[in-house]
Parts: sequence; structure tokens; C-alpha cells
Amino acid sequence: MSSRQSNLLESPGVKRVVKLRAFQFILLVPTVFLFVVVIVQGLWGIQDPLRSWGLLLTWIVWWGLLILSALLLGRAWCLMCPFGGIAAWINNKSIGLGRSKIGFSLNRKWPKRLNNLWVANAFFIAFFTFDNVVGLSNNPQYTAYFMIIITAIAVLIAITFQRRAFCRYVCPLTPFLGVPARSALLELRAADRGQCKECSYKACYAGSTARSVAAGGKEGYPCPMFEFPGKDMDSNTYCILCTECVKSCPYDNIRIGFRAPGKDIWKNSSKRFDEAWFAVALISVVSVGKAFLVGNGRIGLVTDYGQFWVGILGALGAKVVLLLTGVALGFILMCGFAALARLVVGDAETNTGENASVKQFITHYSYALAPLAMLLLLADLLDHLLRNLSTFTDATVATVRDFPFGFPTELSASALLGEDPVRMISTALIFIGYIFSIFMVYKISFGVFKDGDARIRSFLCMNAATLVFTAVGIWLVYAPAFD
Amino acid sequence: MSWGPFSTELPSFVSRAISFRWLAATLVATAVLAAIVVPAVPAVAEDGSPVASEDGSVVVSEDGSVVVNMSASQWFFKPNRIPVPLGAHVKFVVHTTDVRHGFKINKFGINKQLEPNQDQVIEFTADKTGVFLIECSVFCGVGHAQTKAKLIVGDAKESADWGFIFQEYIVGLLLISAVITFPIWIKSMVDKDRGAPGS
Repeated sequence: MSSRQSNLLESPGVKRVVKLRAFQFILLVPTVFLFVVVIVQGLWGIQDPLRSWGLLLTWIVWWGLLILSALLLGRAWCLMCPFGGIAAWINNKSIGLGRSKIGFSLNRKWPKRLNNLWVANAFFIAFFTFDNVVGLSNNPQYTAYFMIIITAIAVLIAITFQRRAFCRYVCPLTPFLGVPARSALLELRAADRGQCKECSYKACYAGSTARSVAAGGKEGYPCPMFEFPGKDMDSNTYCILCTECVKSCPYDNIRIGFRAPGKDIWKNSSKRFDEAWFAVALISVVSVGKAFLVGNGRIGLVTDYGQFWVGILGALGAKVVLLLTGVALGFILMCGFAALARLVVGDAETNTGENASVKQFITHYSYALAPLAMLLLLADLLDHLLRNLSTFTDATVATVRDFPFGFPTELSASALLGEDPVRMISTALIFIGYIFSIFMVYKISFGVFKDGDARIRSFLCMNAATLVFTAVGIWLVYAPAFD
Repeated sequence: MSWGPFSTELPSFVSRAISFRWLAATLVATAVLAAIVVPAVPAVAEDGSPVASEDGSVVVSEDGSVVVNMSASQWFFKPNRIPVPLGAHVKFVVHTTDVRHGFKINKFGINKQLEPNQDQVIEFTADKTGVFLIECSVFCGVGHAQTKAKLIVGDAKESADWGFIFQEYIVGLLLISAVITFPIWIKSMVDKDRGAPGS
């Protein structure tokens, strides 16, 4: 038994760096610089997607690193995110080199009815639909507009509502990073919750006060994500690792450490339907939903179903309907398996002594699909990166020659790896995602049910759902390219 | 669970996974799949003779040059198999109506961006025998990886499709392990959980 919890802050060097007031600012400087470059190049620079370095940096490099970071480090990106960072600078009336007491905000309370992920879920689906219908990841100008709009919304919310309400409730990356972040290897938690119970300062949640500073804490802002590590924070979903609590806790009772991957998925952490819904939507768009759209013209727009919508809404509207149908298909599939599990498990009691409903099955098990969906996305990005390395070198040369606008250099054509090895790597990545997901499904089954039989039955049913999503994902790596 | 990054113990699911039953099931699965897949490995012959397509997308002129009217869409090229004779002058006229795509043939050093509602003309001499991939080089959405076509020059033969074989192997492994291994695995877990003898 190793009961000792990992804590990186036990290292004096790490602790000193994390406790620095300028810690977040130092990380924000390079990302804000790159953010400005991407916007300048997008608005006034080269519009060719093969030569626009800012575009490739955003949608291939950054997006890929985002997925990897969510799976390994939780929401570490949010610590250095320029959208939220710039909004927080305005909200705090400080760029973070000192702690300001009076912010620049109306400090309204976020509406209770929107105290969930539905706005963020809708935002993500809208973003995904726009990207696939109009084209965002292949258009430098739209990318720049998109970044400006996101920042404007973040700033607007920051000057109206308390703390980082945008990051918690609105940002499309909140579910995209937050739900898979439950699989991460890294966590920030209270080291000893007993200590938190007795703590009278609650500086982590409420921000430092003269009393908490006198007791040994440093100056720190209230948790921007409205989390209280001492009691309710039991998953990585909303922790953006901003380390304000590390600074302000007078007892040094916050730890940042490694843990078993996926622990938030199976431990008795709170499960919510809005989060689970996102996990299903994500796996849908990269597996069954995608299979519905892709297919070398055999399915998608050219089918009777597609043409029916083209007749009513035109090509663009029909594409939107098809994309949303894809998302719905994945959800119908998940509902089917959950209903099957409900039927097969029968009246077996859960650990909380009730009968699990179909909705509860979806809520509990969908989390296991999020890491699989992320690996499917990563496989797609890696496929592009390995097959199109030359576009990256060309775009870099173009940007260096005319910084930051980009110069129309000659384009070369080369690939790092051939088609077969690339597909093997993609398949292997998806396979790893599957193994991890079924392990999660298995752990969830043990967490939910008391009875051994119910555990086997629910595991087998929900594993079948995982298997279908995986098999479709793997099929997509090869199948539909040619007649 | 007592295991974590600093634990020296293997997590129990790993030690079970590498138990004899798992290994046996994997070997059986590999043997079965090899028996199915290996006879199918011999290369697929592609006919490289120039054929004008029925829909008029490929036009072969008298001097042997080939004009291909191609469309790129989300997420496919049409036509997607283009046979041309060795040494022919090939002219692609590529058109897209939805979003920006790319047109890339590595072996001929071609990499072009396709702008919506503009014809992109790409000309070259097909002086190498083989099957060459035409791929989209601009990330164009969820189906980007599937936006591909094949240029078949001369009497080319496709090599064994190892990516496909590997993929079939993994899918087969998934199915067989789902059918055979997991119930056994879970049964043993539950027996252990109940403290049943012989587990």
C-alpha cells in the first residue's frame, strides 16, 4: 500500500516558482505574443492556408497540444490561455504582477439557471459546425476574427460578472478540456481536508485577507473558477491550475501531484448530465457522426436524406443539419446501450441504494468515452502532421521572410511517413484509447453497483457501446477514401 | 486502489491482463486473423491503361495527353481513381465549391491550395510508373484524412496494404477479445470480490 500522495510542491524549487506572484504572468507572455501574431497574420497577412504559419500554429500545433495536455495535465492550458488571461487582467485591473484589491467589473452574480455547461456545450457545437461548414481551421482571416470575438466575449463577461465566469460557464474549451481532464495524471487538491474544515480563512475560495496573510499565506485572488478545494472540488473538470490557492493558503495545504490516470472518472466524484452529454457529443463527432458525413460521396450530402435538406435549406443549411444528425446518432446509440444495460441489470441496487435509470447509466458511463474521443481527434491531427510536414516548414519560411505577415514562398511536397505507417499509428492510438476506456467502464461498474452480477452485466453492455464507437473510429481510418 | 505513479506494484488489471488466458486468447486471435488475411495479401493489380471516363471527367486526347476535370469537396475527390499512361502529359483542372482544400502529390512535387469557386490548373508529365496518392493538404474538417484519390501511372501494381492489414488485425483482436476474454476476466474479478474459492 502506498498511501502517500504525490506532491510536487514538496520540492522547494517548484514551490518557490509556483508561489511567485508573476508565475501566471510569465506563462502568459509568450502565449499573448503568439496570439497577437496569429491575429495580425490572419487579418493582414497571407491568406493561403498552406503558407499561413499562424493558422497551422493554431489549428494543428496548438489544438494537438491542447488534446495532449488535457489527457496528461488536466486544464494546464487555461493557466496560460490568452483569452481568459486578458479578460482576467481587465477584471483584476492588473496584469498579475501585484494583487490589486479593486477590480474593474460590475461583479454581478452568474445567473443560477446557467450554472452548468449547457452554454459552453452549445458554443462548442456551434464552433464545430462553423468549422466544418464554412471553414475556420483553413481560413486565417476567420481564425483571427474568431479569436477576437472569443476575447471580446471573455472581456464582456469579465466586466459584468464575478471572477472568471467566462472560463467556467461559457468557453467552448471548458467541456473540451474539462471532461477529458478527469483522465489526467495531474491533480490539484487540498492535501488534508481535515485542516480545511478547521480553517477560518478559506483564502483559497474567498481570496487572501489581512488575517490570512498574517497567518502565513501570501496575497492571492479568490478562486477564479468558484471552486473550494477544501470540500466540493473532487475532479479536475473546473480547476484551471492557476495556483492562486497555492499562494493564499496559510497552511500550505494545497498539493499538486501525480495520481492514477482516470481517477476522477471512477472515484466517487460528482457526475453531471451536462458533462456526460458533452462526452457523448464529442465521441459522436469523431466516430459514428463522422461516419455519417464522410464516405467518399456515398453518404452525407449526396444521399436522399442529404438532398432532402438541400432542397429545403440549401447546401450550407443541409450540412448543418447533417452534422447535428451525426451528433444525434451518437446520442441515440448511447441511449440504446444504456437502455439495454438498464434492462439487463434489472432491479439491482446501486451503491447509493437506488435503481439506476437510463439517464444515470449515460451520466455515469459517458465519461469513459471522453479519453477515447480525444485519442480519435489526436489520431486525425497526427495523420495530418505526418503526411504534411512540408506545409509546416513552408509556412515557417514564409513567416520568417516577412514577419508577421507571411511571404508567398514556393511550396514543396513531402511527407514524414508513408500512408501505411501513418494509418498504423492512428489505429494504434485509437486502440490505446479503447483499452483505457474499457478500463474506465470496468472501474465505473464497480463504483456504481454493489452486486457482482450487476457489475458484469452493466460492464458488458456499456463496453459494447465503447467497442462500437472504437470500431467505427478505426474503420474510418481506412475505409471510406476510395470507391 | 493502492497503485499510483509512485507505487512499485503493478495495477491488478495489468497483472491480470498479462495472465495466461489473455495471452492465449491473443495468440488464437492472431492465428485466426493471419489465416484470413495472409491469403489476401498479394498485391492488387491496377489497370493503368488510359480510359476516358463515362461522365467526361477524364478526357484522353489523340496525342496521348490526359485532361482530368476533378472536383474536391468535403470530404472526397471525384473522380478518385485516375489511370494514365506512362509518359503522358497530365492536366488536372480542379474545382471546389465548399471550403478551401489542398491538392498534393508528393512524388511529383505538387502542392496547391484550392480556393472555392476557382479552377486550379495543375500540369505535369507522368514519368514514373506507380500508384500515387493525391491527398488534401489543407485541414478541411472532420473528414480531411479521408479526402484522397489515386493516380495510377502505367501498368502499376499496388503494394500490399499493410496499414489495412494491421487495422483488420486490431479490429479482429477487439472483437475476439470482447467475445472471449472480457467475460472470463470479469468473472474472475467478481469471484475474487465475493471471495469465492478457486478464484
